[in-house]
Amino acid sequence: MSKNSISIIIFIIILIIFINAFSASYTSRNISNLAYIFALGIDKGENAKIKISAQLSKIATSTGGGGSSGEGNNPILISCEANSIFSGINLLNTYIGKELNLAHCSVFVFSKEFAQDGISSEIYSLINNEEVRPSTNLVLSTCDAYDYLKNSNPNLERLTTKYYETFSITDRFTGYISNITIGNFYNTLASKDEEATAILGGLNSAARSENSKSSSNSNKSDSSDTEKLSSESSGSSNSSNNSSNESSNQSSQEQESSIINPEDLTAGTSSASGKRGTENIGLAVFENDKFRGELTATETICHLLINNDLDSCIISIGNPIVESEKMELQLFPSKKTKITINIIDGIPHISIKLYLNADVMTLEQDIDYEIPETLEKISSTAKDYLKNEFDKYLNKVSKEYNCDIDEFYTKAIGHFATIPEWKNFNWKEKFKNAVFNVDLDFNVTSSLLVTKT
Amino acid sequence: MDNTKIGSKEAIALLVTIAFNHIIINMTKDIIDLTASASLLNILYIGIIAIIFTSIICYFLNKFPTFDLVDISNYLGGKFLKWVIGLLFIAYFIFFAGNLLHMFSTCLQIIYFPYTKQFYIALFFIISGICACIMRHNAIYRSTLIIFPFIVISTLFLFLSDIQFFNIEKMYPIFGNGLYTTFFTGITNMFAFQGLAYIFFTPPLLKEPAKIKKVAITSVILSCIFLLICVATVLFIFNGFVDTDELLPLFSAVKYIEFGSFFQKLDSIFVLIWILSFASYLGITIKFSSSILRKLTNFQDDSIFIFVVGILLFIASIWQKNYVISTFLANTVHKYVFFILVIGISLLILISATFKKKIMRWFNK
Repeated sequence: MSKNSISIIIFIIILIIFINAFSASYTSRNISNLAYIFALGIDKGENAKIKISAQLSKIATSTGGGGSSGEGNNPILISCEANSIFSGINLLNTYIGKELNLAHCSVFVFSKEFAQDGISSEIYSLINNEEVRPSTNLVLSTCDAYDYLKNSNPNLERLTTKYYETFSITDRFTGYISNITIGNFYNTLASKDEEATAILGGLNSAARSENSKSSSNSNKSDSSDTEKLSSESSGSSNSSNNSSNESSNQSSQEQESSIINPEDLTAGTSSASGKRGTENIGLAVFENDKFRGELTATETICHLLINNDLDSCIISIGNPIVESEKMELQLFPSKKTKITINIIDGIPHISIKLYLNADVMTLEQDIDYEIPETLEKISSTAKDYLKNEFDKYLNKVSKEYNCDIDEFYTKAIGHFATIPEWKNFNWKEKFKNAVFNVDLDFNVTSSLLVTKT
Repeated sequence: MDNTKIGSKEAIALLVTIAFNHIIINMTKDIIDLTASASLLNILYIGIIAIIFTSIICYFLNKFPTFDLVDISNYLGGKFLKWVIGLLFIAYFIFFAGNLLHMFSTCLQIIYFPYTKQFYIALFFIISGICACIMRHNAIYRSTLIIFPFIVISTLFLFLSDIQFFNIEKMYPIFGNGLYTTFFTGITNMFAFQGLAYIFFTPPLLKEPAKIKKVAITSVILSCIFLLICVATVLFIFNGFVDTDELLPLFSAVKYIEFGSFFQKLDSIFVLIWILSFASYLGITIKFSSSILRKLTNFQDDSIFIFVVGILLFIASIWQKNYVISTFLANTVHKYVFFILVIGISLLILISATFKKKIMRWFNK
């Protein structure tokens, strides 16, 4: 046998070995065996530790002419209860007959109730999974995660995945949310000095009323059941009827109880309504891995401005020219925020210098916006407003929550030569007593196209 | 024309590729674990020490042009020392390359081949290494030079793409766990310059052995830059890396790279480049080990030894029960062996041989 023949035989044997060895991995990753999760919701389970809800979409088969394939219009929502995320996913795998894959998951939603007990185990487990991308958004929903996903119907996009991608865009120009990802959360969780945040999500007013209606209906049916079971005690059935009436009244009042002011606005309280049943407004603050509290829309703007994560936003101030009216300004950071920290007698003195420009958006009749005095008046009012809001925000994160969500510690750490010295300083304890000094370089530049009315 | 000899560029690519593979798989994590926020300072410090050490060994190697450490050992202590040093280095190369292969194939198994046994992934690398080595005209060194630009570009691309996630202030406190850890215990991080072990066997490969100093120092500087870039990427992105550990930290850093919704999941490209680079590294190790064996046995052809070394490397890569054992071997045992064998014994042999040469010359006079 020639040398060439031996080489060919060896080559064929090696080829067969590798085809056999690698085919199992290839088959498991074949698209026809996979079902991609777009959004994963995690709630507290009733019978098990957690309830997971996975939003998937039907992969449309090729259509006649174009032969294109893609995601179907109606996402599928499936859920189950289990002791961990992955045992839940495994159960759902059996249910749908495909392997659920997280490689295209755009958002993880945790319910507030679940997050109050801590989510570190879930976050570490998700990061431990090779399929999960660190850029996946993290939402804390004020309602159940299941309800949040059920009501997440895109308004404008045909594809649900595209809809979830807007999460990371809107924060740059609204300032009402921050683009928090699971990668950010994991990073802050691993740090002992910094605290984590998540996007605050909830149901919009229409979905809230819908939810209240359905819950009142279920209450009605419950009460009728109760009636059947305890027909003798008429008094108790009357009280049940009263409670169902109360809840229906509550649903009709939802719209009225909506919050308008961004200073108090959080997810699940706005008056926005439409096909999309959810809204993301504000931030959820975590202490270690446990939900600590909420930040309103204005507080989120403050957070984003401090962290240089905002391109522009609109704020509403009391009109300095026409009393009892409101004036809207569009803010633009003109320079990056400067943060300096001095430690005096063990107390961090944090100086924040913000550089902001603004344009007047709301105009009133018979006012000349070209006059420096007018612009100066507006500047001064806006500056006072912002200073007040920053003070409230910083007071809330430091004194009330004691959570350094703005990475102030990174500026303080430079004052220490070694890690043991820094650990001895105990930033977490000192941050509570931090003294803040906010300096605003604020300038109202113009009133856009119309300069005189 | 002698096609078996290599030029300076091939030699530099070869030495840097060796260091690069260790950096990707193991070193980044190990350096940050030890020196924390002072990692960059520590790398600059050990980089300077590595350059000084390289200059010293090149000075001694230049006293024996075209000789490698096995030849110098033969000159110094005869066949016995030649066999001892030769076998020690073969064991060093095979054992720790096998261990690194175990680590890398485990990572690949977790990331891409969950249903393929680690055994087959390691076998794939061994076969590719053997095939590259049995090609004539030392093709392995030339193929390494082809892959080298991809390694450089991918590393720079990783650093630049992740810059948006960097927080430079993570390099504080500047002295990390303290001056003692940064400047004394931290010297052990010098084992990141794994190319140093291969420098002792490079002179006979070079077309111009006199250029060994230029080749060696350039490769150490490039390795230091690679190390700085990779460690900076991990250090600046991850907050609590000191407290948490990841299997392949640079892979985690790669996962952050996204350019809108158009370019996502670029990690596959990086892993492909790392696979090619690792196959080159294994090929180089097999080639160096088989060349030493050939020298020890005075065989003309090293083909049979390529297979023998390949099989030994394969065995060295599959015996570990789990990742913990291979991490312990890579981070602790490897460190000690590197300092004893590569820094200690080798330098001692070079100094002794130079001393012997001077005495012999004096006697001849």
